[in-house]
Amino acid sequence: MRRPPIGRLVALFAALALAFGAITVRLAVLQVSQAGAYQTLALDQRLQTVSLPAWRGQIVDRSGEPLAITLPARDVYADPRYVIDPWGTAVEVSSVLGTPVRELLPKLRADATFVYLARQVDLWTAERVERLGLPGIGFLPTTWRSYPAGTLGSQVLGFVGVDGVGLAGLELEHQSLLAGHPGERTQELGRDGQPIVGGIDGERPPASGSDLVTTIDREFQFQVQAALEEAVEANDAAGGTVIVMDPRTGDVYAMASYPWFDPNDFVNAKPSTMRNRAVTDVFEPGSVNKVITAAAVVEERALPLHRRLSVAWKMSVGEFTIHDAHRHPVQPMTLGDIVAQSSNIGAVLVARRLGEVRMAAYLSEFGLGRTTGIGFPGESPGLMLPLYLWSDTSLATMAYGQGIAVTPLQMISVYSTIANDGVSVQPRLVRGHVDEGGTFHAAPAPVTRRVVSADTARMVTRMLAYAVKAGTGTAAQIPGYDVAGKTGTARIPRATGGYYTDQAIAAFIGFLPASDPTVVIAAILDRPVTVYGGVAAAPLFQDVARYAIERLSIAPGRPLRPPPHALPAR
Amino acid sequence: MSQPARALRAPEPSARPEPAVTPRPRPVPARPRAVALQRRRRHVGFLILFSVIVGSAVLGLAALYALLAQSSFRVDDLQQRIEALSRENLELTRWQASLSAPGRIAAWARSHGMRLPDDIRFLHVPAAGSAAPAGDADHPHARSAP
Repeated sequence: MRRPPIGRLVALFAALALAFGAITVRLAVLQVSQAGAYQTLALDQRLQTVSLPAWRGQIVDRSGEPLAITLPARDVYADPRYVIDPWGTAVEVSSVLGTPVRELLPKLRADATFVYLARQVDLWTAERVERLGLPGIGFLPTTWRSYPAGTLGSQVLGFVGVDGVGLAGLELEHQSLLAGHPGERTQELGRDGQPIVGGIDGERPPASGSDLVTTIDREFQFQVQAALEEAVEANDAAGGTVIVMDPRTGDVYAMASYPWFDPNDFVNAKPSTMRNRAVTDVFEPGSVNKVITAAAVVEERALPLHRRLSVAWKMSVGEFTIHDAHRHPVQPMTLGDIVAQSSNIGAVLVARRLGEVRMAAYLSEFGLGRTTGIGFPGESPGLMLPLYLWSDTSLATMAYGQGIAVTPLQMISVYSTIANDGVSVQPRLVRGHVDEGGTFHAAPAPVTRRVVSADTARMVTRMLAYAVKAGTGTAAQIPGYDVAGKTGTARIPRATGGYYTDQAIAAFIGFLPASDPTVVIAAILDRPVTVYGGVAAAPLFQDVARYAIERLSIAPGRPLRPPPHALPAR
Repeated sequence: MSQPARALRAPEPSARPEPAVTPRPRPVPARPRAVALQRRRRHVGFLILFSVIVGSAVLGLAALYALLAQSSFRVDDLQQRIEALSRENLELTRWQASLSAPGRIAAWARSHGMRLPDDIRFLHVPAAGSAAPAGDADHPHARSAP
């Protein structure tokens, strides 16, 4: 019998043992010492974290009516590599989206892996595209900002870009409040992209943005815009601005500048229409600025109220000659007459009694030369020369509102101060916000500051009421109500120096009822063919004031005694 | 020449030593068939019990996972319904806002021949104790201005 080949068997056994031993060692290394690292790698492969976009908060009017709302939408994209028939696909997609075929075709033929065909498409339209079942066409979830009232308050609201970020207006100013905080969802996914049952599935929910509650009254805003558009067309003006506010709280009920734009289609809007001119643009106020001159004179007792000054039609100031709007003989005028008849010469005479220092101080006290703090992007502080740069004509020109530039908001704030018994209240556009849980958080109370005494404010109010009753503002009268206000016809400066002779800014700013003001209105028209504030802007004020009476249920108030005056009423 | 064999002496019966007593091995009782059967039965019983327990556990785990899967599908379905209802709510809100937009209502009113009156007057019902008509400065009850 042959002996078994023991040696070979042992050798074979040793080789196998070595091999299995190596495998065992490797197994131990993989499963024991490197187990943690491989587990982490494997988990990383399976785990997918997606950002959950936060829902942008609404913007609502003071009554809670939505002015801006976010809706779900979809972006439609194409992967040209998988588009089988670019022409046919373009035709079918165009029939649903409305985008011309000539715009879609190059994208579908592009040498790319991802091209947008349409952004922020509403869900129903996206579903119609999806039902076409076209290869290479895909969809991404997104949102779409809608402004249901169209052009209403567009310059105040602003608009939002395709990525959901505010780009102008309140949308920009309160971006962080409206945007909220995105969340994230982490899931374990299998090879086919489906969630693994029982696997990791964690979510940090997004925090929706807060809803912004504005001071705007939707109905009031509409009426203001309708009246402004009508006035611009009737006076063949280049544009106009109207602001309505509550002098006691600083709430802005309406703010509009014509022409405006539709924020639902801001891409195609003219950039000039997007500016909120009430806050960002400046103009030389003209005679509406005389209210500051009058208030300073009364407060400083620079001129007894019964004192009559001899006021000529024109006078020389430095190397210039200034004159009143209409030729007249030398007339005795009190301060009340100067305001009522809007005499430039009279304003210069009383301003000289004040002096430059006090005049500059009161201009500053009434807020000119600095922003109001309303909380709006791009607010202009206006243009006011510092005292040390005043020339020998500065006092005179500023007394009747030239040589200084203000925003409409600054001017209405001046009248609001007078209407509020001499206390300035910071204007505001936001009442507060409603958080995700539905709790309303009021905005901080507006800053208030006494500018002139209550007695001064009431005396100036009497002068302004007399200006409407018997002066240049008779076109602003409303039967049954005492309206206090001032006209303004401000020349427009040329870029090359001097002023245009045939163009002006027509303004009327006032409040009612004079004895207990509830609302202040600024009506400003840019270059109306009718030129004068009393002719072009006062009727616009009247229209808006009539609606204010109805909307706010304003009672007539007590009649006011006229101020000391020398001239007979018109 | 061989020697004559020594005659073997027959052992004397009385002097014959006692043979050594070899301990008799204990008899191995023949295993009865019944005991073997019983033991086999116990093994089988244990196996059956074990199979039942393990099988139940496996079935229970499978059922639990099936339940989890079903619940997760239901949760997913409910979440989708919530999202759909939220979307619908938003869309209805937008629709309501656009329907109630003042511009739309004004345009509708104009298209149906309605217009605002040219002259609007306000009548105020005086509060109790006040008899002054609106804006009547000459009325004896009107208080003088500040």
